[in-house]
Amino acid sequence: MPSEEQLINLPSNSLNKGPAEEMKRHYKVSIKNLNAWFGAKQALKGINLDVKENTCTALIGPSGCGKTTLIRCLNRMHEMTIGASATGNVLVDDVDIYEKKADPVLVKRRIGMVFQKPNPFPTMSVYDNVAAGLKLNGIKDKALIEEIVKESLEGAALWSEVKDELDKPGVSLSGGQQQRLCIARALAMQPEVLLMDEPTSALDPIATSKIEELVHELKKDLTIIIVTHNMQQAARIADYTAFMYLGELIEYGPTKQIFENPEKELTERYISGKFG
Amino acid sequence: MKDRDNSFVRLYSRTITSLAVIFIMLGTVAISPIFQKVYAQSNDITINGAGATFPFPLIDSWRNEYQKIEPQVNINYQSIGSGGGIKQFTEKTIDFGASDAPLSESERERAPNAMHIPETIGSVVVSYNLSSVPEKGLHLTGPIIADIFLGKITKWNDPAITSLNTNLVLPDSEIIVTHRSDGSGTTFVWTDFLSKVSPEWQQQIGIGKSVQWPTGVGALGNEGVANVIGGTPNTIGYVELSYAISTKMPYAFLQNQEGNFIEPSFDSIQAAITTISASLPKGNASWTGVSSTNAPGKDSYPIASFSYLLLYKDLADNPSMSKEKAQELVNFVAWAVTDGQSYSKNLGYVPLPDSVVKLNQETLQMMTYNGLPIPPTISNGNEQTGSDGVFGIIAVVAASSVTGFVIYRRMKSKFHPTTKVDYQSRDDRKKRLSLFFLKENRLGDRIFKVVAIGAAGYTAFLMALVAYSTFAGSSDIFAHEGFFGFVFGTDWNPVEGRESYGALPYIIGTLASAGIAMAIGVPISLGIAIFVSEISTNKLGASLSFVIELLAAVPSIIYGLWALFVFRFWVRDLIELPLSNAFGETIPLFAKTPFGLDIFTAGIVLAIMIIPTVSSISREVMRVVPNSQREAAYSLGATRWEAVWTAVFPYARSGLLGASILGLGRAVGETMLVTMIIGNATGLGAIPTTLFSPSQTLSSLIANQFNEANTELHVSALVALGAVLFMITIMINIAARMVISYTSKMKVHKMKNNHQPSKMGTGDLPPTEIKNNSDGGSVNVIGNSTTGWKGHSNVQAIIRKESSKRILINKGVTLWTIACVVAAIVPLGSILLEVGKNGTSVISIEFLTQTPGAIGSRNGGIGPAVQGTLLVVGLGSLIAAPVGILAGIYLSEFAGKSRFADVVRFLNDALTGLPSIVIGIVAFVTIVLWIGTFSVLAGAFALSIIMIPIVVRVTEETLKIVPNTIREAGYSLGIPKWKITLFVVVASAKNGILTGIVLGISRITGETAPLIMTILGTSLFFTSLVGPVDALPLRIWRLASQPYESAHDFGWGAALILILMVLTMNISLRFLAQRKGGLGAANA
Repeated sequence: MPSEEQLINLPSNSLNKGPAEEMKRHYKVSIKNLNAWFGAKQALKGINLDVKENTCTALIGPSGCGKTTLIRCLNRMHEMTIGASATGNVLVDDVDIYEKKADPVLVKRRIGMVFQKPNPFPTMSVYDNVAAGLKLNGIKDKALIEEIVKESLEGAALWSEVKDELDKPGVSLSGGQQQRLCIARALAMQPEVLLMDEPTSALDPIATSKIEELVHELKKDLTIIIVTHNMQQAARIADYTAFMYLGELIEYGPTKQIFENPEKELTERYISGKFG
Repeated sequence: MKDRDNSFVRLYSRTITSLAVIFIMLGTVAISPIFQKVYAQSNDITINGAGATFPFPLIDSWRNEYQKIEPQVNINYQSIGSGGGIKQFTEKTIDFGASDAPLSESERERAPNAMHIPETIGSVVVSYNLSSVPEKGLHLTGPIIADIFLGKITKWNDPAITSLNTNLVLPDSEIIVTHRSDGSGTTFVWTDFLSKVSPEWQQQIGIGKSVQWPTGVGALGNEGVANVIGGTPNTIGYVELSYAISTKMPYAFLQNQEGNFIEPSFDSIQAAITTISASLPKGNASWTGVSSTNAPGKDSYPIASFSYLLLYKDLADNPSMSKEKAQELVNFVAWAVTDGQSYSKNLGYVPLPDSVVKLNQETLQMMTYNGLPIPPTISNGNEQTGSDGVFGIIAVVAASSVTGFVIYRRMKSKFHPTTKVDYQSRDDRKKRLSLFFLKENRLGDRIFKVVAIGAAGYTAFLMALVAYSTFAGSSDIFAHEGFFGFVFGTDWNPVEGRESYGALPYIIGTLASAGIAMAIGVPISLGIAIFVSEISTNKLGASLSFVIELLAAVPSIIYGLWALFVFRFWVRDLIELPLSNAFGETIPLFAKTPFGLDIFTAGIVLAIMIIPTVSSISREVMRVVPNSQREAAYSLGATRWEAVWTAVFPYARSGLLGASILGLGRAVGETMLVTMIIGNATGLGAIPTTLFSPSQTLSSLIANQFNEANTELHVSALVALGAVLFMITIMINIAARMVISYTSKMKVHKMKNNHQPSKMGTGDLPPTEIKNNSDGGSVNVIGNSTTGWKGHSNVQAIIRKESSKRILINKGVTLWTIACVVAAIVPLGSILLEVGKNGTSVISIEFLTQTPGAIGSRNGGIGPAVQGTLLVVGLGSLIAAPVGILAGIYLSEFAGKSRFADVVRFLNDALTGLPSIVIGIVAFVTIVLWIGTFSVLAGAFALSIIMIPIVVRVTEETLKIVPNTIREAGYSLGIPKWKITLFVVVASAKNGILTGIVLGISRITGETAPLIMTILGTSLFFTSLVGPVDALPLRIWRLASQPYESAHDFGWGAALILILMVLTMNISLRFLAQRKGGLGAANA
């Protein structure tokens, strides 16, 4: 009879066996030798990266460097594109989500994702958008759902703005509100890791700063990995920053160090705006 | 742990409950025949018969009268044509057949021991439209008529005619010959007469239900011929006597053998029959060659003929015939040939002379059942309490819903404990959620995928079945003529002994009419779609699209009637005559005097018919184009039209192509409508030489001749026309796909190589402008370049000039779209007006709920047709909608680029172009012959085959346009794919899918041809799933072909009901869709 603790740590309950035993639980997310392809084209080349719990890690780099591909590998979204594939290991709480027995659907329930453009479900109300993950995953308890919806909207700093308009279609909100709705939708699943793929690229500065504040708040409970095009944003919100170039991880370290004293020349040139 | 089990059960309880309810409903429906049998009176007997159209009013009034004498006996006779009657009689799907021609030797071989019982006498009269001879009485002789129909006498004032009619003034105009286009007993009698009086006719043309006409316009049914004669000056044609009497058409007096000119009348026809009755064979002998045309006797009218009932000598030959039924059948026939004859005269039929009645009575004495004689018995007058099919259905539905409800409640109370749990902390909740999630495995996804693949596989299977049956059915003719001989042959001669078949003229006719339809219909449809989705305000657009979808609700048979009575005259007088007068001499395309029954009219009406399909789907496809696309174009300063052209069209390209292909499919596969207005030429004459020539399409030829085709080769040739159509559709499809992929490649190519600055850029001024400038300037080119301001103002001028042009184009396009909307609404208005004007007067509760009264009377109603339509269409769409949607989901969400998906798509597209009558044939061969009777099931099966491709196509196209980010949002929440697909993706596309379903149901609700072959039709209410039922289009079709005013009114009334039914369905489906948005707002 496995303990509840083990059950929560899906997909694998081989917690005390094999190579997993050797890895100590220092890191929330641990990426080991990750390679990814689109058809025959390799998009990621042997990425190794460890992310600490309750931090925010930014992925930066020029367009096409693979940062979006990387983040999409972290919840096994990448392989859903036709022709795409990945090899390697991604450990979340020391459990490999690429293990054979791991279920890519169940993996996504523990790792939330926010996309580049706000994408609320077009046919659903604000309320239903937040509740969708719970309802469609079989939660029937209305009281529980209601509680979680409220808490998630509060968590996404949207509650005060929409509390009287919960029945309105989700798509009727403004762009910034829609993006926070999408964050609330992800939060409702009680994820442990939140992946954000350029979440502010389609938003104005005010909406952007709201999201950035939110990231500060959320990382108290979650581990956040964010892709951003905006280096200032990375400097503002990230505790750690990874610089990628042509599918390779060039440099990774505390944000301050990357921005003020990068080890690699390539990083320095990118940070200072010499290319990109 | 206990809680967890509970939640698991809860998770699935709803699914289990709904499944249970569905199974119970299905089970109840399945056993409903048993229900019905228990319920219905055990001595209630229904006798099914089918065949010749000519005696239908008489047999129908027998049905009505006989029920008064023998209330427990229901007679159900359906007019499907003599050939159909013989076919069904041979297949033993009916209890008795009826035919206007005796069985040929080959038919007797297939139905040995068949008895001929002449039940009434028919006669054919020559009718005409001459302004100088408005009354009956033109004198004609057999040889002259033969020469007219051979195309040898072409003028009304030909000396041969004028010499016989010295007291009449005949015009110096061309004789327009009209004949039946459909195979018919009338044509058989007519050609039999012509062969006797003209050796040349006998040699060249011969005798047959369909022959290769050397000249003239073909029209569908007596009704069609009468319409052509009535609406076109200087025509001549032939119709049934009863038809001419009741519609008061003028008719000619014909010269008989002894040289007298005889007016067709009951007496002159009875006289003719009496003179030959002594030479008639016994009922069980061969009647092949029996003919009563050109009979001797000084008072005999020369074109008279029997119509026959067909029975097996030993009635037990038909396995579904019980002894009681056999006895009742013999009793009924005995009554019909004696007492029943008294109803003849009122209906315009000639009563049998006594000598023939006596012959029939002798025949009936010979009847046996399992070898034992069953002579007619006198009725013992069984009383019975009324048995009503409607009540039976209500009982079944009520019983099943109660059972379902009770079980639902029980399951609900069992699986829904109302304990509420408090969740203390966030961690606690997290754990609880995790536990919930834990128990969910991936079974749902697997099941869903299997189900979707199953649906796609079923679709592919159906299509393959139809394709296989079509090609297998064609093998005889391909063996006879050779494949290329058939495809490129131009002869079409079904007369036995001279058979020769070639499809080329009809291939040309199909391509030409469909080409005209597409050339007119697609631009108008796109215009409407642009207006509704891009230009008009929401409300106007919504109501407009609703109105236009109404056009899809109009069954093609009503289009046909409307085109025949109203629209063809518009086309003739407003378009064809002006064009012909203006250009007829110079442009060969417009030569030939038009009269509105030609390939051009057919093309226009087909265009009107495909507009709702093409425009609705185009609208849906254009609506889902993301707004950002349009905005991008607007931001560059594009006008509305340019935004549509550069942003919306390319995005929606594949969807628009799909819409057009569906429209094309409908245009090439249409049967009834085309048959009514294309002029129905056969052989070389069917190759249109001008826009205004009569022609024939592959589908219309099948519709014209299939019911009367009675040799295997003829049937095979007609099925092979379906195969040819199948191949044409496939080729058009492939070509369209190639064009699309070619143009999209071209665009990319162009963009890559286009390094030149655009015309609007400053670096590329048109040379003329520079020249003007230097002319105006004083010195030289250098001056030009130094005074840069002038160059700049030139650019401004160009932009201004260009933009005023662009704004003009934009305005023009807007006007054009409005014109398109008007162009679609005018015919719709006209149709609705016509149907409303003629139909409203008959509508009442009785009309809707009662069984039909005697034909020609104003009693009774169309209750069985209403009920049957609901049943067949309901069942058909219950099969087609889920299968179609699931197959569409498979193609869009699961298949990717798999081979299997390509095969499904390919077959699906090819099938949309197959005429529905071919699908009817397939359903007949598979379901009807398998069960042994006509049935709701067979009808629903056939209709589902027609509807599935529409739903699949529309579902796939709309799902494809749902943005992928929406799916990814769902995946990112760890929701199983099947739930994302159903509750997010499909929910987003539900309007488009719904449009597909509405279009599909509208389409099948109006289908006639496949129903004739599957449900037969009846005047009785539904009694079992394995017996004939009625349907509105069938009823309209049969009512419209009757010569009685009241029948026509009933037909229009039925049409009105049909349109209202589709309308109600349309509205309620839309209403439902609006209510049930997404996950259900009720929870909030």
